[in-house]
Amino acid sequence: MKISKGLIAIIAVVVILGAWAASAYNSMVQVQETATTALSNVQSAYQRRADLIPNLVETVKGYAAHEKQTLEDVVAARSKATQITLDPENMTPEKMKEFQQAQGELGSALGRLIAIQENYPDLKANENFRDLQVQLEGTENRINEARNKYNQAVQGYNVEIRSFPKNIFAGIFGFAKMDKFEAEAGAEKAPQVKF
Amino acid sequence: MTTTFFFFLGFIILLLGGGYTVTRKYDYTPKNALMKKSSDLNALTYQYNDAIIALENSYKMEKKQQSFWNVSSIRRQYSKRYQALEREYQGKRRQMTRVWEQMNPAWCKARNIWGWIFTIGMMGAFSCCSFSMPFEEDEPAVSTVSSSTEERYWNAENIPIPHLKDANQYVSNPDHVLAQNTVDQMNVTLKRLDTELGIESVVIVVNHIENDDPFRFAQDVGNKYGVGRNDRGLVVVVGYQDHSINMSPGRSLEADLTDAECHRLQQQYVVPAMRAEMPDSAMYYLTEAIYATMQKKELPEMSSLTSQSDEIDNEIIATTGLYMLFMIAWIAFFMHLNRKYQWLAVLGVASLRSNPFYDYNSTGGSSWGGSSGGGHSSWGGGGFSGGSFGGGSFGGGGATSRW
Repeated sequence: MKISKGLIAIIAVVVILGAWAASAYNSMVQVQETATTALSNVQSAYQRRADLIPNLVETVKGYAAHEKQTLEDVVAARSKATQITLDPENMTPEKMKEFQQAQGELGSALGRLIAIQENYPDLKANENFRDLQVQLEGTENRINEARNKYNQAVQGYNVEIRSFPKNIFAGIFGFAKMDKFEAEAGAEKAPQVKF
Repeated sequence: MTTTFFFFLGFIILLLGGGYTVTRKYDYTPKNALMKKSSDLNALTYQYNDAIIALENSYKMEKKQQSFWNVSSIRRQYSKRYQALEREYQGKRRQMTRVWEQMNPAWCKARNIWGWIFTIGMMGAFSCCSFSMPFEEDEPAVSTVSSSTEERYWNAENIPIPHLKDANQYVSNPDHVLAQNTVDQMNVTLKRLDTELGIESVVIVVNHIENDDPFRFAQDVGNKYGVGRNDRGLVVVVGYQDHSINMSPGRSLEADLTDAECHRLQQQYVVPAMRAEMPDSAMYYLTEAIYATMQKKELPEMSSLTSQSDEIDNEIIATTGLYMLFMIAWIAFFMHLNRKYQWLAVLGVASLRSNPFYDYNSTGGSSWGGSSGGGHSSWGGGGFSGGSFGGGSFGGGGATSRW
Protein backbone atom coordinates (compact mmCIF):
# COMPACT_ATOMS: atom_id res chain seq x y z
CA MET A 1 0.00 0.00 0.00
CA LYS A 2 1.36 3.32 -0.98
CA ILE A 3 0.93 6.19 1.49
CA SER A 4 1.21 9.69 0.18
CA LYS A 5 3.77 12.04 1.66
CA GLY A 6 1.03 14.56 2.44
CA LEU A 7 -0.78 12.01 4.62
CA ILE A 8 2.41 11.18 6.48
CA ALA A 9 2.98 14.88 7.12
CA ILE A 10 -0.56 15.31 8.43
CA ILE A 11 -0.21 12.30 10.74
CA ALA A 12 3.12 13.62 12.02
CA VAL A 13 1.68 17.04 12.71
CA VAL A 14 -1.33 15.51 14.50
CA VAL A 15 0.94 13.29 16.60
CA ILE A 16 3.18 16.22 17.51
CA LEU A 17 0.20 18.40 18.34
CA GLY A 18 -1.36 15.59 20.37
CA ALA A 19 1.86 15.09 22.34
CA TRP A 20 2.20 18.79 22.96
CA ALA A 21 -1.49 19.04 24.01
CA ALA A 22 -1.04 16.17 26.46
CA SER A 23 2.06 17.78 27.87
CA ALA A 24 0.33 21.17 28.16
CA TYR A 25 -2.70 19.57 29.83
CA ASN A 26 -0.51 17.72 32.32
CA SER A 27 1.45 20.83 33.20
CA MET A 28 -1.79 22.78 33.75
CA VAL A 29 -3.08 20.00 35.98
CA GLN A 30 0.15 20.09 37.92
CA VAL A 31 0.07 23.83 38.59
CA GLN A 32 -3.63 23.64 39.42
CA GLU A 33 -2.94 20.90 41.97
CA THR A 34 -0.18 23.00 43.49
CA ALA A 35 -2.60 25.90 43.85
CA THR A 36 -5.42 23.77 45.33
CA THR A 37 -2.98 22.18 47.79
CA ALA A 38 -1.85 25.65 48.79
CA LEU A 39 -5.49 26.60 49.30
CA SER A 40 -6.00 23.55 51.52
CA ASN A 41 -3.01 24.67 53.57
CA VAL A 42 -4.55 28.10 53.97
CA GLN A 43 -7.81 26.60 55.16
CA SER A 44 -6.09 24.25 57.58
CA ALA A 45 -4.15 27.19 59.03
CA TYR A 46 -7.42 29.07 59.52
CA GLN A 47 -8.95 25.94 61.00
CA ARG A 48 -6.04 25.70 63.41
CA ARG A 49 -6.79 29.22 64.58
CA ALA A 50 -10.47 28.38 64.97
CA ASP A 51 -9.54 25.31 67.06
CA LEU A 52 -7.55 27.44 69.47
CA ILE A 53 -10.47 29.75 70.20
CA PRO A 54 -12.57 27.57 72.55
CA ASN A 55 -9.58 27.07 74.84
CA LEU A 56 -8.69 30.74 74.68
CA VAL A 57 -12.25 31.83 75.46
CA GLU A 58 -12.46 29.42 78.40
CA THR A 59 -9.18 30.65 79.82
CA VAL A 60 -10.16 34.31 79.49
CA LYS A 61 -13.59 33.59 80.96
CA GLY A 62 -11.93 32.31 84.11
CA TYR A 63 -10.31 35.71 84.75
CA ALA A 64 -12.51 38.19 82.92
CA ALA A 65 -16.04 36.79 82.92
CA HIS A 66 -17.63 40.20 82.66
CA GLU A 67 -15.99 40.90 79.29
CA LYS A 68 -19.08 39.16 77.99
CA GLN A 69 -19.48 41.17 74.81
CA THR A 70 -15.90 40.57 73.67
CA LEU A 71 -16.16 36.86 74.35
CA GLU A 72 -19.48 36.60 72.54
CA ASP A 73 -18.09 38.49 69.56
CA VAL A 74 -15.24 36.02 69.26
CA VAL A 75 -17.53 33.02 69.52
CA ALA A 76 -19.91 34.47 66.94
CA ALA A 77 -17.11 35.41 64.57
CA ARG A 78 -15.65 31.95 64.88
CA SER A 79 -18.99 30.35 64.18
CA LYS A 80 -19.47 32.47 61.09
CA ALA A 81 -15.93 31.91 59.82
CA THR A 82 -16.05 28.13 60.18
CA GLN A 83 -19.26 27.96 58.19
CA ILE A 84 -17.60 29.32 55.09
CA THR A 85 -15.17 27.06 53.35
CA LEU A 86 -13.55 27.41 49.97
CA ASP A 87 -14.07 24.67 47.45
CA PRO A 88 -11.53 24.91 44.63
CA GLU A 89 -14.06 23.38 42.24
CA ASN A 90 -16.69 26.04 42.82
CA MET A 91 -14.69 29.01 43.91
CA THR A 92 -16.05 32.36 42.91
CA PRO A 93 -14.70 35.84 43.64
CA GLU A 94 -17.76 36.51 45.82
CA LYS A 95 -17.19 33.37 47.84
CA MET A 96 -13.55 34.27 48.25
CA LYS A 97 -14.47 37.75 49.42
CA GLU A 98 -17.00 36.37 51.86
CA PHE A 99 -14.43 33.95 53.25
CA GLN A 100 -11.85 36.69 53.70
CA GLN A 101 -14.37 38.98 55.34
CA ALA A 102 -15.43 36.34 57.84
CA GLN A 103 -11.84 35.46 58.69
CA GLY A 104 -11.01 39.17 58.94
CA GLU A 105 -13.82 39.70 61.43
CA LEU A 106 -12.60 36.75 63.48
CA GLY A 107 -9.08 38.18 63.45
CA SER A 108 -10.32 41.54 64.68
CA ALA A 109 -12.43 39.93 67.44
CA LEU A 110 -9.40 37.91 68.54
CA GLY A 111 -7.30 41.05 68.59
CA ARG A 112 -9.79 42.67 70.98
CA LEU A 113 -9.85 39.53 73.13
CA ILE A 114 -6.08 39.47 73.42
CA ALA A 115 -6.00 43.18 74.21
CA ILE A 116 -8.10 42.80 77.36
CA GLN A 117 -5.19 41.07 79.10
CA GLU A 118 -3.77 44.50 79.86
CA ASN A 119 -6.64 45.04 82.32
CA TYR A 120 -6.22 41.65 84.00
CA PRO A 121 -2.69 41.04 85.34
CA ASP A 122 -3.64 37.58 86.62
CA LEU A 123 -4.78 36.60 83.16
CA LYS A 124 -1.61 38.01 81.64
CA ALA A 125 0.48 35.97 84.06
CA ASN A 126 -1.44 32.75 83.47
CA GLU A 127 0.80 30.18 81.86
CA ASN A 128 -1.98 28.56 79.88
CA PHE A 129 -3.01 31.93 78.47
CA ARG A 130 0.58 32.67 77.50
CA ASP A 131 0.87 29.34 75.71
CA LEU A 132 -2.34 30.02 73.85
CA GLN A 133 -1.10 33.47 72.88
CA VAL A 134 2.13 32.01 71.55
CA GLN A 135 0.20 29.38 69.60
CA LEU A 136 -2.11 32.07 68.27
CA GLU A 137 0.83 34.14 67.12
CA GLY A 138 2.36 31.06 65.48
CA THR A 139 -0.97 30.32 63.80
CA GLU A 140 -1.24 33.85 62.44
CA ASN A 141 2.26 33.42 61.03
CA ARG A 142 1.22 30.13 59.45
CA ILE A 143 -1.83 31.79 57.92
CA ASN A 144 0.28 34.52 56.41
CA GLU A 145 2.80 32.05 55.07
CA ALA A 146 0.08 29.82 53.65
CA ARG A 147 -1.68 32.79 52.00
CA ASN A 148 1.58 33.97 50.45
CA LYS A 149 2.34 30.52 49.11
CA TYR A 150 -1.19 30.20 47.78
CA ASN A 151 -0.91 33.52 46.01
CA GLN A 152 2.40 32.46 44.46
CA ALA A 153 0.90 29.15 43.34
CA VAL A 154 -2.16 30.91 41.90
CA GLN A 155 0.07 33.33 40.06
CA GLY A 156 1.94 30.43 38.47
CA TYR A 157 -1.31 28.72 37.56
CA ASN A 158 -2.90 31.85 36.07
CA VAL A 159 0.19 32.58 33.99
CA GLU A 160 0.15 29.00 32.75
CA ILE A 161 -3.50 28.95 31.66
CA ARG A 162 -3.57 32.46 30.22
CA SER A 163 -0.44 32.21 28.09
CA PHE A 164 -0.87 31.57 24.39
CA PRO A 165 -1.41 28.91 23.05
CA LYS A 166 -2.18 27.08 26.30
CA ASN A 167 -5.11 29.40 26.88
CA ILE A 168 -6.91 27.61 23.99
CA PHE A 169 -6.62 24.26 25.72
CA ALA A 170 -7.38 25.82 29.09
CA GLY A 171 -10.67 27.09 27.66
CA ILE A 172 -11.46 23.69 26.10
CA PHE A 173 -10.65 21.70 29.27
CA GLY A 174 -12.26 24.16 31.69
CA PHE A 175 -9.20 25.53 33.54
CA ALA A 176 -10.62 28.73 35.01
CA LYS A 177 -8.68 31.66 36.42
CA MET A 178 -8.24 31.50 40.21
CA ASP A 179 -8.41 34.44 42.60
CA LYS A 180 -5.69 35.48 45.00
CA PHE A 181 -6.09 36.50 48.58
CA GLU A 182 -6.05 40.21 48.94
CA ALA A 183 -4.90 42.13 51.96
CA GLU A 184 -7.90 43.25 53.92
CA ALA A 185 -8.08 45.52 56.87
CA GLY A 186 -7.71 43.42 59.97
CA ALA A 187 -7.61 40.14 58.09
CA GLU A 188 -3.87 39.57 58.34
CA LYS A 189 -3.03 41.57 61.41
CA ALA A 190 -1.52 39.18 63.89
CA PRO A 191 -2.53 40.02 67.45
CA GLN A 192 0.29 41.89 69.16
CA VAL A 193 1.65 39.58 71.80
CA LYS A 194 3.39 41.36 74.63
CA PHE A 195 4.90 39.78 77.72
CA MET B 1 44.83 20.13 80.41
CA THR B 2 46.28 17.48 82.74
CA THR B 3 47.05 15.27 79.74
CA THR B 4 49.16 18.07 78.25
CA PHE B 5 50.94 18.56 81.55
CA PHE B 6 51.79 14.88 81.87
CA PHE B 7 53.03 14.84 78.30
CA PHE B 8 55.14 17.84 79.19
CA LEU B 9 56.48 16.13 82.32
CA GLY B 10 57.40 13.10 80.22
CA PHE B 11 59.22 15.40 77.81
CA ILE B 12 61.12 17.05 80.67
CA ILE B 13 62.11 13.68 82.17
CA LEU B 14 63.40 12.60 78.75
CA LEU B 15 65.25 15.90 78.45
CA LEU B 16 66.86 15.55 81.86
CA GLY B 17 67.70 11.91 81.26
CA GLY B 18 69.27 12.79 77.92
CA GLY B 19 71.17 15.70 79.44
CA TYR B 20 72.47 13.58 82.29
CA THR B 21 73.57 10.77 79.96
CA VAL B 22 75.31 13.12 77.52
CA THR B 23 77.07 15.26 80.13
CA ARG B 24 78.10 12.41 82.42
CA LYS B 25 81.31 11.86 80.47
CA TYR B 26 82.15 15.57 80.50
CA ASP B 27 80.93 16.36 83.90
CA TYR B 28 83.93 15.39 85.99
CA THR B 29 85.58 18.56 87.16
CA PRO B 30 87.82 18.50 90.26
CA LYS B 31 86.33 20.57 93.02
CA ASN B 32 89.68 22.18 93.80
CA ALA B 33 89.90 23.40 90.16
CA LEU B 34 86.70 25.37 90.66
CA MET B 35 87.97 26.64 94.02
CA LYS B 36 91.24 27.73 92.46
CA LYS B 37 89.37 29.65 89.80
CA SER B 38 87.38 31.45 92.49
CA SER B 39 90.47 32.31 94.57
CA ASP B 40 92.35 33.59 91.50
CA LEU B 41 89.42 35.82 90.58
CA ASN B 42 89.13 36.97 94.18
CA ALA B 43 92.81 37.92 94.29
CA LEU B 44 92.44 39.91 91.07
CA THR B 45 89.34 41.69 92.37
CA TYR B 46 90.95 42.56 95.72
CA GLN B 47 93.94 43.96 93.88
CA TYR B 48 91.79 46.28 91.80
CA ASN B 49 89.53 47.18 94.74
CA ASP B 50 92.71 48.35 96.58
CA ALA B 51 93.61 50.42 93.54
CA ILE B 52 90.13 51.99 93.56
CA ILE B 53 90.40 52.81 97.27
CA ALA B 54 93.78 54.45 96.66
CA LEU B 55 92.24 56.45 93.83
CA GLU B 56 89.41 57.53 96.09
CA ASN B 57 91.84 58.72 98.81
CA SER B 58 93.84 60.62 96.27
CA TYR B 59 90.63 62.30 95.03
CA LYS B 60 89.69 63.34 98.57
CA MET B 61 93.12 64.88 99.11
CA GLU B 62 93.03 66.77 95.85
CA LYS B 63 89.48 67.95 96.44
CA LYS B 64 90.53 69.67 99.67
CA GLN B 65 93.27 71.61 97.88
CA GLN B 66 91.10 72.82 94.97
CA SER B 67 88.40 75.46 94.87
CA PHE B 68 84.73 74.53 94.76
CA TRP B 69 84.45 75.33 91.03
CA ASN B 70 87.14 72.81 90.06
CA VAL B 71 85.67 69.88 91.99
CA SER B 72 83.40 68.64 89.23
CA SER B 73 86.24 68.71 86.70
CA ILE B 74 88.43 66.67 89.10
CA ARG B 75 85.59 64.25 89.69
CA ARG B 76 85.28 63.66 85.93
CA GLN B 77 89.02 63.05 85.65
CA TYR B 78 88.92 60.48 88.47
CA SER B 79 85.86 58.87 87.00
CA LYS B 80 87.74 58.35 83.74
CA ARG B 81 90.64 56.82 85.65
CA TYR B 82 88.19 54.49 87.41
CA GLN B 83 86.73 53.46 84.04
CA ALA B 84 90.20 52.70 82.73
CA LEU B 85 90.86 50.55 85.80
CA GLU B 86 87.56 48.76 85.38
CA ARG B 87 88.27 47.99 81.71
CA GLU B 88 91.64 46.63 82.65
CA TYR B 89 90.09 44.51 85.40
CA GLN B 90 87.40 43.11 83.09
CA GLY B 91 90.00 42.29 80.44
CA LYS B 92 92.19 40.44 82.90
CA ARG B 93 89.22 38.62 84.36
CA ARG B 94 88.04 37.49 80.91
CA GLN B 95 91.50 36.31 80.09
CA MET B 96 91.75 34.32 83.34
CA THR B 97 88.38 32.74 82.71
CA ARG B 98 89.33 31.86 79.13
CA VAL B 99 92.54 30.24 80.26
CA TRP B 100 90.70 28.32 82.95
CA GLU B 101 88.09 27.11 80.45
CA GLN B 102 90.78 25.97 78.05
CA MET B 103 92.19 23.93 80.85
CA ASN B 104 88.75 22.40 81.58
CA PRO B 105 87.01 21.80 78.21
CA ALA B 106 84.70 19.07 79.59
CA TRP B 107 83.26 21.52 82.10
CA CYS B 108 82.52 24.02 79.28
CA LYS B 109 80.75 21.40 77.17
CA ALA B 110 78.59 20.23 80.07
CA ARG B 111 77.80 23.85 80.93
CA ASN B 112 76.57 24.50 77.37
CA ILE B 113 74.46 21.35 77.27
CA TRP B 114 72.79 22.06 80.61
CA GLY B 115 72.21 25.66 79.57
CA TRP B 116 70.34 24.51 76.47
CA ILE B 117 68.34 21.96 78.46
CA PHE B 118 67.26 24.63 80.90
CA THR B 119 66.23 27.01 78.08
CA ILE B 120 64.28 24.30 76.20
CA GLY B 121 62.56 23.28 79.45
CA MET B 122 61.43 26.84 80.16
CA MET B 123 60.23 27.43 76.62
CA GLY B 124 58.41 24.09 76.65
CA ALA B 125 56.71 25.00 79.93
CA PHE B 126 55.49 28.33 78.54
CA SER B 127 54.27 26.76 75.30
CA CYS B 128 52.47 23.85 76.99
CA CYS B 129 50.94 26.20 79.56
CA SER B 130 49.42 28.44 76.90
CA PHE B 131 48.39 25.43 74.79
CA SER B 132 46.57 23.71 77.65
CA MET B 133 44.65 26.83 78.70
CA PRO B 134 40.93 26.60 77.90
CA PHE B 135 40.40 28.24 74.52
CA GLU B 136 39.28 31.83 74.60
CA GLU B 137 38.17 33.64 71.50
CA ASP B 138 40.76 36.08 70.27
CA GLU B 139 38.22 38.83 70.03
CA PRO B 140 35.45 38.71 72.60
CA ALA B 141 31.93 39.10 71.31
CA VAL B 142 31.26 42.48 72.80
CA SER B 143 34.48 44.03 71.63
CA THR B 144 33.95 42.64 68.14
CA VAL B 145 30.52 44.13 68.08
CA SER B 146 31.63 47.53 69.22
CA SER B 147 34.72 47.61 67.03
CA SER B 148 32.96 46.76 63.82
CA THR B 149 32.74 49.87 61.74
CA GLU B 150 30.32 48.56 59.18
CA GLU B 151 27.23 46.84 60.48
CA ARG B 152 25.85 44.26 58.15
CA TYR B 153 22.19 43.35 57.92
CA TRP B 154 21.81 39.70 57.11
CA ASN B 155 19.13 37.92 55.12
CA ALA B 156 18.67 34.52 53.52
CA GLU B 157 20.53 35.64 50.42
CA ASN B 158 23.76 36.85 51.99
CA ILE B 159 24.10 34.65 55.08
CA PRO B 160 26.88 32.04 54.82
CA ILE B 161 25.76 28.48 55.52
CA PRO B 162 28.80 26.51 56.77
CA HIS B 163 26.93 23.19 56.56
CA LEU B 164 27.14 23.33 52.77
CA LYS B 165 30.94 23.27 52.98
CA ASP B 166 31.36 21.01 55.98
CA ALA B 167 28.66 18.54 56.97
CA ASN B 168 29.63 18.84 60.64
CA GLN B 169 29.00 22.58 60.83
CA TYR B 170 25.51 23.72 61.72
CA VAL B 171 26.19 27.15 63.22
CA SER B 172 26.57 30.30 61.15
CA ASN B 173 28.36 32.94 63.21
CA PRO B 174 29.60 35.49 60.65
CA ASP B 175 29.69 38.43 63.10
CA HIS B 176 31.63 36.37 65.69
CA VAL B 177 28.99 36.98 68.33
CA LEU B 178 29.80 33.55 69.75
CA ALA B 179 33.20 32.25 70.81
CA GLN B 180 34.61 29.52 68.59
CA ASN B 181 34.58 27.15 71.55
CA THR B 182 30.83 27.63 71.94
CA VAL B 183 30.27 27.11 68.23
CA ASP B 184 32.25 23.87 68.40
CA GLN B 185 30.25 22.61 71.36
CA MET B 186 26.97 23.52 69.66
CA ASN B 187 28.05 21.77 66.48
CA VAL B 188 28.64 18.57 68.44
CA THR B 189 25.14 18.68 69.96
CA LEU B 190 23.50 19.63 66.65
CA LYS B 191 25.33 16.78 64.93
CA ARG B 192 23.82 14.40 67.49
CA LEU B 193 20.41 15.97 66.88
CA ASP B 194 20.89 15.24 63.18
CA THR B 195 22.28 11.72 63.35
CA GLU B 196 20.36 10.38 66.35
CA LEU B 197 17.02 12.11 65.90
CA GLY B 198 16.99 12.99 62.21
CA ILE B 199 16.54 16.71 62.86
CA GLU B 200 18.64 18.76 60.51
CA SER B 201 19.23 22.24 61.80
CA VAL B 202 20.76 25.61 61.05
CA VAL B 203 21.58 28.04 63.85
CA ILE B 204 22.33 31.59 62.75
CA VAL B 205 23.71 34.12 65.21
CA VAL B 206 24.29 37.62 63.84
CA ASN B 207 24.18 41.17 65.15
CA HIS B 208 21.53 42.55 62.83
CA ILE B 209 18.77 41.00 60.77
CA GLU B 210 17.32 42.67 57.71
CA ASN B 211 14.10 44.52 58.59
CA ASP B 212 14.52 43.27 62.16
CA ASP B 213 12.39 40.27 61.15
CA PRO B 214 13.90 37.03 62.47
CA PHE B 215 10.75 35.10 61.51
CA ARG B 216 11.06 36.04 57.83
CA PHE B 217 14.80 35.32 57.91
CA ALA B 218 14.30 31.85 59.43
CA GLN B 219 11.50 30.93 57.03
CA ASP B 220 13.47 32.09 54.01
CA VAL B 221 16.60 30.21 55.04
CA GLY B 222 14.57 27.06 55.77
CA ASN B 223 12.73 27.15 52.46
CA LYS B 224 15.63 28.34 50.33
CA TYR B 225 18.07 25.66 51.46
CA GLY B 226 15.45 23.01 52.21
CA VAL B 227 16.61 22.46 55.76
CA GLY B 228 15.47 19.09 57.13
CA ARG B 229 14.83 15.64 55.78
CA ASN B 230 11.11 14.77 55.60
CA ASP B 231 10.31 18.32 56.68
CA ARG B 232 11.98 17.72 60.07
CA GLY B 233 14.26 20.72 59.97
CA LEU B 234 14.90 23.44 62.50
CA VAL B 235 16.14 26.97 61.90
CA VAL B 236 17.15 29.19 64.81
CA VAL B 237 17.93 32.83 64.09
CA VAL B 238 19.32 35.28 66.63
CA GLY B 239 19.78 39.01 66.13
CA TYR B 240 22.09 39.77 69.06
CA GLN B 241 22.02 43.55 68.79
CA ASP B 242 18.43 43.53 67.57
CA HIS B 243 17.55 41.58 70.77
CA SER B 244 15.49 39.01 68.94
CA ILE B 245 15.32 35.26 68.43
CA ASN B 246 13.16 33.05 66.29
CA MET B 247 12.92 29.28 66.28
CA SER B 248 11.21 27.82 63.23
CA PRO B 249 10.61 24.08 63.09
CA GLY B 250 9.87 22.41 59.75
CA ARG B 251 6.32 21.35 58.94
CA SER B 252 6.62 17.82 60.32
CA LEU B 253 8.62 18.90 63.34
CA GLU B 254 5.92 21.34 64.47
CA ALA B 255 4.06 18.53 66.23
CA ASP B 256 7.14 17.57 68.30
CA LEU B 257 8.46 21.06 68.87
CA THR B 258 5.38 23.17 69.34
CA ASP B 259 5.22 26.94 69.29
CA ALA B 260 4.68 26.96 73.06
CA GLU B 261 7.75 24.77 73.62
CA CYS B 262 9.87 26.98 71.37
CA HIS B 263 8.72 30.01 73.31
CA ARG B 264 9.35 28.34 76.67
CA LEU B 265 12.89 27.36 75.68
CA GLN B 266 13.57 30.90 74.55
CA GLN B 267 12.21 32.40 77.74
CA GLN B 268 13.98 29.90 79.97
CA TYR B 269 17.43 29.87 78.39
CA VAL B 270 17.93 32.62 75.87
CA VAL B 271 16.20 35.72 77.26
CA PRO B 272 17.79 35.70 80.77
CA ALA B 273 21.28 34.96 79.46
CA MET B 274 21.00 37.51 76.65
CA ARG B 275 19.85 40.15 79.10
CA ALA B 276 23.00 39.36 81.08
CA GLU B 277 24.97 39.75 77.83
CA MET B 278 26.03 36.13 77.81
CA PRO B 279 25.30 35.05 74.23
CA ASP B 280 27.57 32.01 74.51
CA SER B 281 25.70 30.62 77.49
CA ALA B 282 22.36 31.45 75.91
CA MET B 283 23.05 29.57 72.71
CA TYR B 284 24.94 26.70 74.28
CA TYR B 285 22.11 25.96 76.72
CA LEU B 286 19.40 26.52 74.12
CA THR B 287 21.04 23.89 71.91
CA GLU B 288 21.35 21.46 74.80
CA ALA B 289 17.73 22.14 75.76
CA ILE B 290 16.47 21.52 72.22
CA TYR B 291 18.31 18.20 72.16
CA ALA B 292 16.96 17.26 75.59
CA THR B 293 13.41 18.24 74.58
CA MET B 294 13.59 16.13 71.45
CA GLN B 295 15.09 13.24 73.39
CA LYS B 296 12.30 13.65 75.99
CA LYS B 297 15.04 14.02 78.57
CA GLU B 298 15.30 16.34 81.51
CA LEU B 299 16.13 19.89 80.50
CA PRO B 300 19.48 21.34 81.58
CA GLU B 301 19.35 23.72 84.52
CA MET B 302 20.55 27.26 84.16
CA SER B 303 22.42 26.94 87.46
CA SER B 304 24.81 24.65 85.66
CA LEU B 305 25.47 27.64 83.44
CA THR B 306 27.51 29.26 86.16
CA SER B 307 29.07 25.99 87.17
CA GLN B 308 30.36 25.58 83.64
CA SER B 309 32.05 28.96 83.70
CA ASP B 310 33.41 28.08 87.14
CA GLU B 311 34.82 24.90 85.67
CA ILE B 312 36.67 26.93 83.06
CA ASP B 313 38.01 29.28 85.77
CA ASN B 314 39.11 26.32 87.88
CA GLU B 315 40.82 24.80 84.89
CA ILE B 316 42.75 28.02 84.27
CA ILE B 317 43.80 28.17 87.94
CA ALA B 318 44.84 24.51 87.96
CA THR B 319 46.78 24.86 84.71
CA THR B 320 48.58 27.97 85.84
CA GLY B 321 49.29 26.45 89.27
CA LEU B 322 50.77 23.27 87.85
CA TYR B 323 53.06 25.12 85.49
CA MET B 324 54.07 27.65 88.16
CA LEU B 325 55.05 24.75 90.43
CA PHE B 326 57.06 23.25 87.63
CA MET B 327 58.82 26.54 86.90
CA ILE B 328 59.74 27.01 90.58
CA ALA B 329 61.19 23.49 90.64
CA TRP B 330 62.98 24.16 87.36
CA ILE B 331 64.48 27.41 88.64
CA ALA B 332 65.61 25.65 91.86
CA PHE B 333 67.25 23.01 89.69
CA PHE B 334 68.90 25.74 87.65
CA MET B 335 70.21 27.50 90.77
CA HIS B 336 71.63 24.19 91.93
CA LEU B 337 73.42 23.71 88.61
CA ASN B 338 74.50 27.35 88.64
CA ARG B 339 76.75 26.61 91.61
CA LYS B 340 78.76 24.39 89.34
CA TYR B 341 78.39 25.99 85.91
CA GLN B 342 78.21 29.64 86.92
CA TRP B 343 75.83 31.01 84.26
CA LEU B 344 74.66 33.95 86.32
CA ALA B 345 77.56 34.70 88.68
CA VAL B 346 80.75 33.15 89.96
CA LEU B 347 79.86 32.19 93.47
CA GLY B 348 82.31 32.99 96.22
CA VAL B 349 84.03 35.69 94.17
CA ALA B 350 84.14 39.25 95.37
CA SER B 351 82.85 41.99 93.12
CA LEU B 352 84.63 45.12 91.99
CA ARG B 353 83.81 48.30 93.87
CA SER B 354 81.40 50.61 92.13
CA ASN B 355 82.53 53.94 90.68
CA PRO B 356 82.81 56.41 93.62
CA PHE B 357 83.26 59.35 91.22
CA TYR B 358 80.08 58.79 89.30
CA ASP B 359 78.06 61.98 88.99
CA TYR B 360 74.39 61.02 88.96
CA ASN B 361 73.22 64.57 88.21
CA SER B 362 75.16 64.93 85.02
CA THR B 363 73.81 61.86 83.26
CA GLY B 364 70.78 62.04 81.06
CA GLY B 365 67.77 59.83 81.52
CA SER B 366 67.61 56.65 79.64
CA SER B 367 64.71 55.69 77.55
CA TRP B 368 63.30 52.43 76.49
CA GLY B 369 62.23 52.11 72.96
CA GLY B 370 61.10 49.29 70.90
CA SER B 371 58.66 48.15 68.38
CA SER B 372 57.07 44.90 67.63
CA GLY B 373 56.09 43.81 64.23
CA GLY B 374 52.86 41.98 63.93
CA GLY B 375 52.52 39.09 61.65
CA HIS B 376 49.73 36.91 60.56
CA SER B 377 49.57 33.31 59.81
CA SER B 378 47.15 31.45 57.67
CA TRP B 379 45.85 27.94 58.04
CA GLY B 380 45.60 25.68 55.11
CA GLY B 381 42.15 24.40 54.32
CA GLY B 382 41.25 21.06 55.75
CA GLY B 383 39.70 18.24 53.86
CA PHE B 384 36.09 18.70 54.95
CA SER B 385 33.30 17.25 52.95
CA GLY B 386 30.46 19.59 52.15
CA GLY B 387 26.98 18.83 53.41
CA SER B 388 23.56 19.29 51.91
CA PHE B 389 20.08 19.72 53.25
CA GLY B 390 17.24 17.30 52.96
CA GLY B 391 14.76 19.54 51.10
CA GLY B 392 12.50 20.39 54.03
CA SER B 393 9.84 23.07 54.00
CA PHE B 394 8.64 25.54 56.59
CA GLY B 395 5.07 26.60 57.12
CA GLY B 396 5.42 29.47 59.56
CA GLY B 397 5.47 27.56 62.87
CA GLY B 398 7.70 28.41 65.80
CA ALA B 399 8.04 31.35 68.10
CA THR B 400 9.80 34.67 68.33
CA SER B 401 11.02 36.34 71.52
CA ARG B 402 12.64 39.65 72.26
CA TRP B 403 14.64 40.83 75.21
